[in-house]
Amino acid sequence: MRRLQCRGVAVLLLFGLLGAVRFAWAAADTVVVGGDVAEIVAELGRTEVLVGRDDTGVYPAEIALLPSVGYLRRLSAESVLSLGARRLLVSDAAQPRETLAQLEASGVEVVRIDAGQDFDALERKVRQVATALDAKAQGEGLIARLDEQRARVEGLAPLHSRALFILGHGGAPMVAGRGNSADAAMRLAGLDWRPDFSGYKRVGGEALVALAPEVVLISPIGLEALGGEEALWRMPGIGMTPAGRERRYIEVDEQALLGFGPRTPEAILALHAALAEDEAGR
Amino acid sequence: MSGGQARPETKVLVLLGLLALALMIGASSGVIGLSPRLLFGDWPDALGWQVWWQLRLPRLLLGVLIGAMLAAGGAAMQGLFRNPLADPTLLGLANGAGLAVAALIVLGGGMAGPLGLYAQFLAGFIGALVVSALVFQIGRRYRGREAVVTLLLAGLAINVIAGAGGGLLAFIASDEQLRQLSLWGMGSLAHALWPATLAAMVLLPLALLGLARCARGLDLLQLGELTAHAAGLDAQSLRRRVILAVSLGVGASVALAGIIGFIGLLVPHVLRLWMGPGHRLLLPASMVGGALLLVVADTLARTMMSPAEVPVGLLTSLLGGPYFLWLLLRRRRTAME
Repeated sequence: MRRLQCRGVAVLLLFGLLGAVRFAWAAADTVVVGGDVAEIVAELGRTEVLVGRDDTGVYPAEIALLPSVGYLRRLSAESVLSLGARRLLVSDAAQPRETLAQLEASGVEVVRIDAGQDFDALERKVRQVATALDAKAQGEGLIARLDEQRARVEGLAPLHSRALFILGHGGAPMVAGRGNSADAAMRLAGLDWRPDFSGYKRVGGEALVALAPEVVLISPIGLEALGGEEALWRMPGIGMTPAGRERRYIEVDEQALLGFGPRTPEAILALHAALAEDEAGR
Repeated sequence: MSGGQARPETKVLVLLGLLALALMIGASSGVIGLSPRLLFGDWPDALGWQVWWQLRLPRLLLGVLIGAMLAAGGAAMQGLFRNPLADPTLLGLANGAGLAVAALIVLGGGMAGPLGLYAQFLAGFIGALVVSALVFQIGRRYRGREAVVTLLLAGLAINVIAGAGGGLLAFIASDEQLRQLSLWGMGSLAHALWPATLAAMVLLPLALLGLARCARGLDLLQLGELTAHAAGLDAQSLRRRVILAVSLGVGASVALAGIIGFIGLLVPHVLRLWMGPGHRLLLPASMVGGALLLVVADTLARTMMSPAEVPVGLLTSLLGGPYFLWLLLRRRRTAME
């Protein structure tokens, strides 16, 4: 009798184990595309459903460890299918559209997530991801936390610096104008001044002098790409700007600040604090 | 063939005058407006002076040197190949140089500083040299129209190979290297600073002088190799000198400013129509004309969309591409008549 019981327990255990494996295997079927979307999935504690990410999904570490299906704007259907994905959580910024259509035709469930660059959009992103992942409670928790940060961001005092966001280099530096995510994040941080063009443009030495930035915003990656701080100040023209003369720059976490994901409100608060300190020290 | 009635020397003077005018306009126009009177000792304020001295002057000088080099290089190659469509960009020299520089950045660890600059010169020189030797070996097997087409196709193939090599390098490059590489996509004089300009002021005049000394030989070569040989021309040595000088000049230009296309095609062509095919006049005139074109184009690149900057390579290609097409169509028509 006892032996039978033992065997019963063993069988049950085995089934249970198999079931768990089966469940895990069945559950991990999602590829996430878009760094902000990936961060939200991680924030909701549902990374176990993921089998892949795209190149922009680099945070947190558990996301970065997943195999990548390529770059957000150059998605290929085959690399998504090769991971056995049955569902795609995809930022609306993803390209090309045809790939998404191909995936849908191959029976992959394509869930499009808002790609907006403001707090309302962020909230929508969280809701959409939470709904798709069946994690509504965690979603509401995250939204409540973001709302609290949003209130703090919206209460920030305006700043007066002429802050220039330098994205990268190659010939002339690529500088952020208006109507892009850097513009949105800087506006929320209380910064009003921006170069008078849309998108990101290369700006030559003389134009840099004319823009007369008082402080440079640059990501650690961007700074490294230039070849360090010394190389930043060696760029043509920058030495003749107020920022260059006093060597004022602030490192910003590009991914967190510009992604409009769960870390963005914090990054905006941090940027404001750094800028306010910089203004006070002038 | 020669167009106007004026004496050739007068035409070169006219070109020089235009270049002086372009330099004057270029020196005084920019995002920060400076009065042309500055050239006559009417110094602007400290900032204006700094902008002029640190940013505008090196850029103008680099424009003059690179423009002169590309145009004279084109003229010399057209003479050497006896092919009016030979051009450092079309034949793949510029892209070969660009690929070599890119390989140095990605595989050689991307050296910074003045030493890195000279390493890039060397890489560009070697890249251009390898391509010109290759193109020459291909070009000499054919004669006449066949040669013209074969050479262009060879250039096309080399450009495709260089493009693929560049893509491959971009694929294995780190993010940091990638940003350095993006410079070679579209030529620009935007990062002209004194160290680079001074290096150019040593290297490029050397290459230009080398080309100028080939003028008589190139003229003889136009009579056909046998006649030239009878007239005492050492064609072998002429070839070597032209290829060395062009490779040196184009390699250095690409290392400094990326690929600025079509100047080597456009300028010698227009000038040949205007002042005839003699190289003793055409080579120096091309130098002046190339400098004029690049200075004007770069002034536009700086000011057209300010504060944003247009890559000057884009402007020259916009101008040169249609001209090249027109040239091809016109050749086809004259062939049929």
